[in-house]
Amino acid sequence: MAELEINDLHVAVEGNEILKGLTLSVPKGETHALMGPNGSGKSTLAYAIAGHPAYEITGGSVRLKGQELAGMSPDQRAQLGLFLAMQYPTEIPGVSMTNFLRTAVQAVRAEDLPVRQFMKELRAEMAQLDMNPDFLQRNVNEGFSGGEKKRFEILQMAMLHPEVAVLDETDSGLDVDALRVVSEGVNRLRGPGLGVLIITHYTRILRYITPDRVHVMVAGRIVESGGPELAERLEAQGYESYRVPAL
Amino acid sequence: MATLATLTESDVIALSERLGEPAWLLERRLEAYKAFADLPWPDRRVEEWRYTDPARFDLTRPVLEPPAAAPLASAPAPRAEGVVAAVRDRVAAHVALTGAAAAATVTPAAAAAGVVATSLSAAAHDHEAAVRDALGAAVGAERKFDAANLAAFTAGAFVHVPADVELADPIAVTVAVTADGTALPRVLVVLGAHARAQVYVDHHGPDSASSAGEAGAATVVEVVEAVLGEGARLDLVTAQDWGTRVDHVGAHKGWVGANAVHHHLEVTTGGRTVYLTPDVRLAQPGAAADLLGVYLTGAGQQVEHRSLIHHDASATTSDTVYKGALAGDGVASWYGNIRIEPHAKATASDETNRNLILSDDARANSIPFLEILCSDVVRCGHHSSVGQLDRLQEFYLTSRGIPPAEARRLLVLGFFAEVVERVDLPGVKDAVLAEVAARIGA
Repeated sequence: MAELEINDLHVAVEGNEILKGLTLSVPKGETHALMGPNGSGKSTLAYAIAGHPAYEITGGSVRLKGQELAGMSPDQRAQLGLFLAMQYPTEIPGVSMTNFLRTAVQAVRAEDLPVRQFMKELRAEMAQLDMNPDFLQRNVNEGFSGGEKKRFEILQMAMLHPEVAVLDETDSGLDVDALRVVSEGVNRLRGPGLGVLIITHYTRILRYITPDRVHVMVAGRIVESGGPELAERLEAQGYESYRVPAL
Repeated sequence: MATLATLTESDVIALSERLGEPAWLLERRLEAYKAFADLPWPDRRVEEWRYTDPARFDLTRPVLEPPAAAPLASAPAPRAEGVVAAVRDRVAAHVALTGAAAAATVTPAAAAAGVVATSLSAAAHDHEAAVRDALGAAVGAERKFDAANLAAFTAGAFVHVPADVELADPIAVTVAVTADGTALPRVLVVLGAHARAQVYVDHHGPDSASSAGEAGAATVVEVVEAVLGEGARLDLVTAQDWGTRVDHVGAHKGWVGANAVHHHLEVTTGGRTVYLTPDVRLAQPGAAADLLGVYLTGAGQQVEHRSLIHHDASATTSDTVYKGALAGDGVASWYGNIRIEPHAKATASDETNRNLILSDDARANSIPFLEILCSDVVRCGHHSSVGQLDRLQEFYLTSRGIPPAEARRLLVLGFFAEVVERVDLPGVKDAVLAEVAARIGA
């Protein structure tokens, strides 16, 4: 059984159907890449999996560890083991990063982590991601640069121990150094207990994170799946060959 | 029995005699009484009372009668609740105004430094010069309720920190309502040149919320005035933690001397009606004020904060930030007027009011106002908003596994952080955030 199993998924935003029967599964321990041109519905898929209230599942199913996610609130999905690294992480003034992370860790991880242990773990993970300890004094994403926000997403992923992580355009807006640090962070977390779905427009991040499978998404459906070599072909040829003729 | 509606000159004379006050103070009261008698009772047609109906203040409740002149009793420690709880064991002085009775305690160390904390009636004898100069200097008899207070204050506190004394421990003033009726408490704080002090004014009562409307139907007409000498710094918190049948109209005003700093936090959480004018007059060059406020309204509550930020000298600065969270069918109004006089050159000022609406029935009025009569202004800004919790922020938090109620709690506490992070008074930040958390039911 796959950790993340999406079957004939239909999703609408404000009444417009964006996903039109998408089927995809990410088995335990595997890393998959989902690629597609702008507007193909990649981010819609990410938000629908995480339970964003504006994204309505109108058909099909999304299962995590065999459990149907539709009908679950976002916090229940996260508690079940889902993590979404967002393309545009939200700034939350007045809520300190430490307080936020501690609250989230307590909600998601079954163990009761003492504060001292939590801080130790947090500092260690931050060091791995080349994050300045001063970050601990700051509010969630407030005034962060694009690169800092993405590092913070990966830091959360490290602290929350998900079983399935969806990374939505984590590579966008990153310079080469930041991309390397973030990719190394993801690679470190990969393992038999984690399934990863990397959503991306470009193949850039796949030079650092080698996927087990690559899926191509166009107009709300998967149009082709293959091994890592598929990404290389896309790099050379682009999405032109998948273009749906205008009706 | 005297009431505000029927207050006479002889009521004022009888009150002053009962308190054993010197003749000069009675003269002051009678001057204020004349102003009071000449002023009409406000109604909703005047701008100042557009958002709070003055009819909410019952003027027929009997004015509480102070005990006949007697040696001043010692004040007990401040209560173990509210903003003062964290410092109650280490106050340098405490004046307790309970109903119409006053009691006061000053630690020997503070007394040795020259700190005075006593009743206004006693201070009128023992510290005549200081009281004469300062009484009414910040809050006079220009407005009806202010004039009523100056004419007929039933219990008063006088706090004086002499020049150059920097007080490490805070001073507490408790204003408690324990019986039905009309209370007219008055607090006068005077800081000499270069003095520094922290003053906690804790308004509360009746304490038992469980009395469920059985007791404590009170009208409170109240004044806190602070006079800051050159280079002084006052950190002042005035907290309104009233029961559900208290209607409170109050003037809280600082008169700020040259290069002095008036740092004031209003915390309004209780009461049926609270109408406050947290004003400041930056009277001499270089004077500065931070006016901060946190308010919470719930079912049946109506709260208004109406500030005059008066730049009356050059190079004066002010920064005003009021934030409120509104639940139930509560109504909160904020009005901030930055007035810059023609002679007040090179001033910098800013005012912000933000309201967080937590229910369908809550309402907020937010009116920033600028009266700039001088062309030489460094900076003058205003910001105002009324909004709900941000759904994207809520989604972000819940997507990390944080349950919705906890997410909302974090966001509401975060909303107030901008204000409470700026409060230097020990224990106040935690007390305010705890009250916020309790009120939003998380």
